[in-house]
Amino acid sequence: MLGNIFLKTLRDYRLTILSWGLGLGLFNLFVTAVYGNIYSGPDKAQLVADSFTLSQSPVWPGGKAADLNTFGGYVTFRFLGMLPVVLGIFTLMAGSGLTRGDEEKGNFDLLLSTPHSRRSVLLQKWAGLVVALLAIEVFSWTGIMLGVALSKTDLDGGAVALTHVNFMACALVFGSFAMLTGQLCGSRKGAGGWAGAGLVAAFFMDTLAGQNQALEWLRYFSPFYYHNLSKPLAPSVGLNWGPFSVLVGACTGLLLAALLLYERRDHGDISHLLKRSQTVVGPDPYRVAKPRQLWLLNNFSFGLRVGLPGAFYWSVLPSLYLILGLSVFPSVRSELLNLLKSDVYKGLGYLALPTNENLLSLPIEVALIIPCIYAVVLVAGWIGEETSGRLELVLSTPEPRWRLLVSRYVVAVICIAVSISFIGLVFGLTAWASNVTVDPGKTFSMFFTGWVVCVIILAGGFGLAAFGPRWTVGLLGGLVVASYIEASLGKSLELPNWVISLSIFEQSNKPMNYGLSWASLSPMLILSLIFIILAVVRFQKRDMLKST
Amino acid sequence: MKATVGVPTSSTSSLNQTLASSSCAILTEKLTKTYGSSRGVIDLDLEVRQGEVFGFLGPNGAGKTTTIRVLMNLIAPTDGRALVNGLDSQRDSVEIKRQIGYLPGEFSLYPNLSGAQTLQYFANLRGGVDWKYIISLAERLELDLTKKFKQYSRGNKQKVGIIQAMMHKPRLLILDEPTSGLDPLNQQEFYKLVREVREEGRTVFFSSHIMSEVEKTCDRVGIIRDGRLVKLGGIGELTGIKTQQLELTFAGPAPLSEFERLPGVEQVEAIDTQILRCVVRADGLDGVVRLAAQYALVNLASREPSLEEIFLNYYREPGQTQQEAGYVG
Repeated sequence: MLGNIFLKTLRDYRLTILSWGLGLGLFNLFVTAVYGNIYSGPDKAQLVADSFTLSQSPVWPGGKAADLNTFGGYVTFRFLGMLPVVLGIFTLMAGSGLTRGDEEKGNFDLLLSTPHSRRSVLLQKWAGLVVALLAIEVFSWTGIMLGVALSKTDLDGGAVALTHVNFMACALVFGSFAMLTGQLCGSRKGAGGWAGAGLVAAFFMDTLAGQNQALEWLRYFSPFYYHNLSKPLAPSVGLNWGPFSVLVGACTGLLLAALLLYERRDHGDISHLLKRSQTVVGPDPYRVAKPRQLWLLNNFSFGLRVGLPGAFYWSVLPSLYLILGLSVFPSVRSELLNLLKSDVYKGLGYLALPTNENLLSLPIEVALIIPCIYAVVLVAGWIGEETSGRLELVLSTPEPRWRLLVSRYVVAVICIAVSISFIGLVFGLTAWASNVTVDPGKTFSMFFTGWVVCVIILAGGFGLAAFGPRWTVGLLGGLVVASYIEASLGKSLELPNWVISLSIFEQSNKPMNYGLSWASLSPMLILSLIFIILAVVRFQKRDMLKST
Repeated sequence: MKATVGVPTSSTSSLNQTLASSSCAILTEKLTKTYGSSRGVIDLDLEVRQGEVFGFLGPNGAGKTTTIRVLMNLIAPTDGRALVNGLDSQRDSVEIKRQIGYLPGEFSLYPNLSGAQTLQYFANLRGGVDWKYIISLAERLELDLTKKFKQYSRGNKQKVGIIQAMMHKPRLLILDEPTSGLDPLNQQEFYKLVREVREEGRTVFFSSHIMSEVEKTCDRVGIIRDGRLVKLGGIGELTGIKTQQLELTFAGPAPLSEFERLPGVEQVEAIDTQILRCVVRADGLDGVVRLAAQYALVNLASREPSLEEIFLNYYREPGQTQQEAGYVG
């Protein structure tokens, strides 16, 4: 596997392939086995009716429902619509790391000293990514086919494969886009952030914008739109070669643009297309004035300066989502009400109350997922301080370890508060501007509860990082996802109530309907405190990692 | 209170220990650090005196950085203890950090901060530093403080690290391979800075691979190999235990076999029929002179080994020659 750059790239992806592949494969196996079984039974009509209601949702991915009376059409609409988003996240993460990530790590310096052109290096790495994606899809395909076999339903293996080809074309557009942003941004984080923003924007351009005639033209800029025009598992639709070709063309165009910029820019630098002017160095660069910025004063102020811009960036997308949601809310209000009457939404724990607060709790909950992800990213940032070797120097100053940890935790808590406050403010202002009446107290309760959920994620993350920084992000991310699935699908999956009540998301207890529930929030805040105390005690004693 | 004459009580014993340790900048006692089954350092007894420049030598993976990270309380010892300026490295680490400046072997800083901002941040974390002194250090090391950290070359990043370690004029400097990445001119300037620190009565403890810089700047040297201290002594002392390299030119054929039989004589070789070269330990020198006096001698040349040769001698596996150990001088 070390024979050439392509094979080495593939080797580097082996764990990623395994984790993403197994995850997707098991998910597909589960849903096709369980729902295949129900679909072949007497409840088929109810499943189809629920899916039809769900198809009216402005935020449901996967485009229009088709052939719901066939199992292929049903799974395409009900479950597989989310897979291009998931695979898009994989390709944009991989794509942003393909050049920029390797440059940051210093891997490219040596690689480019070998007799390979930049073009060859980039294309071999790209090919590695494509094959890695293909391998993940093989797991996904296998999961579906095993589920089909277990539930004794009927799905054509070739059509499932074509569905995955369509996924791949869509996901690779985001991978190419991430590679392009990698040429324009100075860091992998920035490249990934912009590409991620592109993916979320594309998602909403296809879903929400499609609900509003004035904004419908935006759909044509979303790869999801072209993806959803093909449904190989729905007999009446099949694979539409036209939209598929648009995806392939977009992917190729973005890849070529990235390649062109990469070949022309300085190694380690950004493309001159967006390069800022250079700092003019004075006649004596040594005799500079003492910097007076207040944020250089201590670790706390420094942490705020580093963290707050991120708090703003992370609030932009959920704010845009809520703006879009509120702007179409009056026109889809009655449809939303029907939607909440369906068993699916009842299963998700929503009430059928005709109040604005109840109807808007779903989009707000979706928007508040982003601050939860941001909390995990903040934990990753704290760990990065250590693994990059920065803490080694900071800890050589007379700053006690406990104070450093507490100050960074408080900074993270403030950043989340700023981010959620911003989203809440945008929501309030947009609701006011759109003449959507909502109870200010309950709205505050909703956003405050969201903040508490993030506080416990942060505390759990800092606590885990004090014990094992190398595995914290994976474990924390997994726990957050599991907790979310428990809360959202727990009832549908008929999980025991005590298991569902373990979820931090379940504890929020629909504050848009019931207001603040201190009985639920207090234990979470007390647990956060305990986690942080544990983190401090452990962090005081443990060995610091050497920079990697 | 009565105390038995001649037998120190536990309190007087600990007082003596405290007095002894306070005269040391660094004192380690049976210091051991293991990482699971991997070896870090084993039973390290090290003493660095106040006001001296101490060189810590060893090949890659010998345990130099592990020792330094224990002193900095970045990692905890598995056994034994370390005192820095008489303070326990673990219990009193915050107080220790007030008194020391540290340069790690590998470090990273904030890519978007300029050199000036980076140094001001660390100055603030130390409660404030004379900015003029930072400027003077930057001038001497030719570091452009206006550039962002990510724009610096490796050598310039190292300069930022050196300045942040020195800017508050600490009592003790702990530097892990400080000249790594510096060009020769800046290396010379760094040596000057180290000499100035010593002249001010402050202490410098640094690890290095470069023999010439250790020979030039250090008062004493410790050599570590496979986690154990194999030699500790002054530069003069180290070059004193040395062997002598003798080259004897005889009027007639060189008596090779007789020299080979002498105790304390190694690596006997004939350069040609009349010239013999050998390495002689201090205890073998008398025998060599007596034997040589029995023959007509045309010339006798003696050369002292460099620290590098001594260094390699300590790293050499049993039976390995200096050439095999990597010495080419």
